[in-house]
Amino acid sequence: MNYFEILRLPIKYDMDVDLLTKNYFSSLRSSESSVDSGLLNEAYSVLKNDLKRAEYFLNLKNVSTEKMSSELAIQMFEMREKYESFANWEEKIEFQKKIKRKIKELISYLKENEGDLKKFSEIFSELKFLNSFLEKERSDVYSRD
Amino acid sequence: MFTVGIDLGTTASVISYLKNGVPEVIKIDGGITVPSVVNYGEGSPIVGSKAVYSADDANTVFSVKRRMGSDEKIFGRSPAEISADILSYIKLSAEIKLGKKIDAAVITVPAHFSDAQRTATKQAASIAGIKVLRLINEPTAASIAFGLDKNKKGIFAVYDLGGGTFDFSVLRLSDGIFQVLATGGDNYLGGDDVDRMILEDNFRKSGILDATSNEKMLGKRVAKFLKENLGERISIETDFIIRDQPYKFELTREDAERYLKKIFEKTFLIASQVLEDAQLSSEDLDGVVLVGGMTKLSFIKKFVTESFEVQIFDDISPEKAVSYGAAIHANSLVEKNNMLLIDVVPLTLGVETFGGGVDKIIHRNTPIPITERREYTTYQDNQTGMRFRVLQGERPLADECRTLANFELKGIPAMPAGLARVVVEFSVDVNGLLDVKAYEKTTGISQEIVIESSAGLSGDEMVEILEKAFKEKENDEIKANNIAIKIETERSIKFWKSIIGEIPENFQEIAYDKISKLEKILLEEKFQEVLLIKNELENIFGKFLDEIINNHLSGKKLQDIRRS
Repeated sequence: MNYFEILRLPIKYDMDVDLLTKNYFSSLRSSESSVDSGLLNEAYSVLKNDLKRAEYFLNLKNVSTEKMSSELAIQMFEMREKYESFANWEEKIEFQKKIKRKIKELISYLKENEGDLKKFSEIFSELKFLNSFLEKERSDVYSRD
Repeated sequence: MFTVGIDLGTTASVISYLKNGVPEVIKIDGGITVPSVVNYGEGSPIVGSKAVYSADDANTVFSVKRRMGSDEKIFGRSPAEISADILSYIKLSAEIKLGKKIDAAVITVPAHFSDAQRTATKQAASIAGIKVLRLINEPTAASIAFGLDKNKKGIFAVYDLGGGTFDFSVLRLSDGIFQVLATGGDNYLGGDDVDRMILEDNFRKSGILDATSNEKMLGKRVAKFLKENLGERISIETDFIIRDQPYKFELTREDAERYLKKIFEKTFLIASQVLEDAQLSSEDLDGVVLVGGMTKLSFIKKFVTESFEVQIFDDISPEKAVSYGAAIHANSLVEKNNMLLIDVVPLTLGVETFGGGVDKIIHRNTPIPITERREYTTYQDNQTGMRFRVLQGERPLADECRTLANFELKGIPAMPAGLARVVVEFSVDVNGLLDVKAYEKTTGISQEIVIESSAGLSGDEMVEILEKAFKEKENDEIKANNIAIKIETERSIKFWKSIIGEIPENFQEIAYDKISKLEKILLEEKFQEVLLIKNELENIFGKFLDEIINNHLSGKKLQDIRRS
């Protein structure tokens, strides 16, 4: 069974998040063992996340998500250089916000293109990079311990 | 099956149970909270108010919770053993009070507690002979108490700022479901920072730039005293003598507000990141629930209201909420009712990659229990071993994360590089405890790693301590219980006699009568009656205990400081 089936949802990228949560809760309630709830948690945490769900969706369709086009790689390299060149904090924050907006935009773009797997996987590659870019900039919330 | 919820706090602990479906605190020594303080002056441990009152600082352990999970020894004991003494005392006192045995408990820990700290807490409970149904996170417990009490639905944040720690969690509450969406915090942020800032400013103003650690410790007490006594005043000052020179230590309202603002700003930054993790913004919140001693301050309330632009809920008792939630959850685990609690992994878990990076295996805020696997391969021909470093934290470099364990999978059959298939499996259970397994897929060679290297007690030590604890329990249980009642009662009598002069006069006579009666029936070993009268006395003294201890502490400390 795949994650979509486990949570009784159609195998579609664009999903009804409320239904996902509803099915997750009701399945958890009736789950007997911690193995069951472990699997449910695994499925839920992948499906509720737009990026992880896209990767999972592509893997289900047998599309590899490992490779990044050289064009994209160069584009991304330039982006990092630009980011590093910012002297002040405010500029960096502004740039991060821009990336966040771009991510949102790309996600809605993904939803429109789930019929075209080639395009879908291109958008996903870009998203994956942008996200890892942000993750690197993220400070540890548990800064000291 | 009789269950309780225990809030094992840094400065004080609380135990609650469900009475006809409603949570109620089991008062110990007449008080709601038991100071998490243990005195070892008499050999056998003295816990709670009596330990505070003993004023024997040289043999007393305060705030042991801060050291949980470390391998420090204090008076020859591990932090887990000292916590166990607190838990034993709470358990025994509660059992005596209610006249029945406690079968199991839910114990709360800070959401950001690491694996080692959780393990140490569990060890403490087993040493104390308490079966742990589950460890749950403090903000989650508070939200259970809040959600059930107010019957609220929606998205709420729990803002928990105590003496030394800050936790911020976002939850979705609906029909008996408590779902943690994201959580974050800081292990070293809270009221103690205010004391430090007061101290630093005053030292600087007085021109003391090279204070020794002992002087800082004394200064911190003065700072704490100023903070606690500022109240509604514009400013407050007191004498502070060091190196035989008199100095004036001062705290103004303006300064206090500035310090608190600094702390609040840090908490707000963390809260914003947590909201972002939950893919929410503060407009999505239906309210912020305030928990922890610092949130009683009007400044903090004001900052939270203004910055989040949201309704605050500060009417659940911050002292009781956490243990109430634990008691409710303990009961639901046993009764198997419809309550659903979904908590998350607080910090990302992963392994170090070649080159010092981090491969994240379980991401923060993933619901628990969870199991995740990753496959690795060899990078050299005929490589027969693979080393792994298990990491916790969000930073991209391994050295910036906390190392939980190191292990090596040996005996991989010789084959060309890239052919071996080594699977690393991470599982986090419902208590938030991590278990790591590694195996080579083609041969089945495997290794299980118990993450306890930094938990303070090795497996052998744990067995030894448990055996000792069980041996003590081998005695006839009733007899053991009666002896415990006797010792405990004698201790209480001694304690009451020492403070009887400090309670209002009209109560003194009644108290004297009851104490003499108690002494008499204790000699006759009428234990049922002993419990009844002890209970009555606890209620009498309990009314004044907090006040007496506060007076005693602040007064005494200041005298000490003046003398030195």
